[in-house]
Amino acid sequence: MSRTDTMDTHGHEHEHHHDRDGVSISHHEGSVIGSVKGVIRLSDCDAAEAALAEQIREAGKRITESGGIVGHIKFVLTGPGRCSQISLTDTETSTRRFDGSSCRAEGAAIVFAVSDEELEAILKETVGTLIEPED
Amino acid sequence: MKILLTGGFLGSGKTSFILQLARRMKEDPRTGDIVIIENEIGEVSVDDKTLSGAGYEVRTLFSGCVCCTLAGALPPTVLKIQQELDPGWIIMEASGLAFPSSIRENLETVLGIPCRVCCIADAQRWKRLHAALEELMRGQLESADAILVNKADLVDADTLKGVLAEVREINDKADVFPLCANGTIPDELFEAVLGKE
Repeated sequence: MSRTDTMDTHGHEHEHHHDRDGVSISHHEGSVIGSVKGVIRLSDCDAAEAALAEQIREAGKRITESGGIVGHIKFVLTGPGRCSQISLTDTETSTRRFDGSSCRAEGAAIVFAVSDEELEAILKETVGTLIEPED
Repeated sequence: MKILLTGGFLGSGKTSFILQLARRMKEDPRTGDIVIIENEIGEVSVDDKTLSGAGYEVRTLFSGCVCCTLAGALPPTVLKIQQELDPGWIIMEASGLAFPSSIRENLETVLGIPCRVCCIADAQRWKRLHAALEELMRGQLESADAILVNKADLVDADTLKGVLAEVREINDKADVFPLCANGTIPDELFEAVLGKE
């Protein structure tokens, strides 16, 4: 079941579509925004970071190959004693590390010219294979 | 209290620039304390964790855009920060889809606080994005006081020259500078972004 809220101010559109499978789709100014959050069941933070970066690159590649434009894909990964932000604007990810104290992954893909269904499927088949919704 | 609105397209380097700017501002006794307001449009917030992880005071407005759907939430947030923390500067990072001119108009009309607007453009993706999303990118840059063409170190000299010229064509009143967001901020750029007072 999904819920849709639409707000319209200053001529801008903003619409939410919540999905139970961990990918939430919304829209703004012509973009499609796919948000994902949950946990990665890997105890090694370096392995989790590398795996997430690989899936982010794969998501970006698939969005571009399907004729879309990647605005920004960014995730924050927090594990015991560390935290990383992984970001993709073109084809290569960049990673910034700083201190952190919990263990979660969350982020969003903000893209253009792909359908809701396409983005949802791409995120589920890439980062979604790693990030499980929290209980 | 003064306000700096930092705008520009998704992934242009706003957060990296703010980290660099805030570090420089902390070294300058004239600027006082800094509070950063972070606005992200997705259902999750990412950049606030980067900024607070670097030791800055951060307030978050997410799941909407402060230039439109969250416009009503911004003035009370600014007032609350003023009352509770009274910083010398608020740096507001707009979402990558926001029009900074709308945010400035909102704050100046409702609170009467003058705002500086600094926008970041991405030299590396400029041609591709400008062709596909011209209206959005033009709208973001056209009312800025300063425009920083970021990732200048990642393109060749001719490409950078072309981007600078196109940016100046969109907004010929702004101070325009090339920028490497992981470098240092020269005095001239620092003054152009924050204003000379």
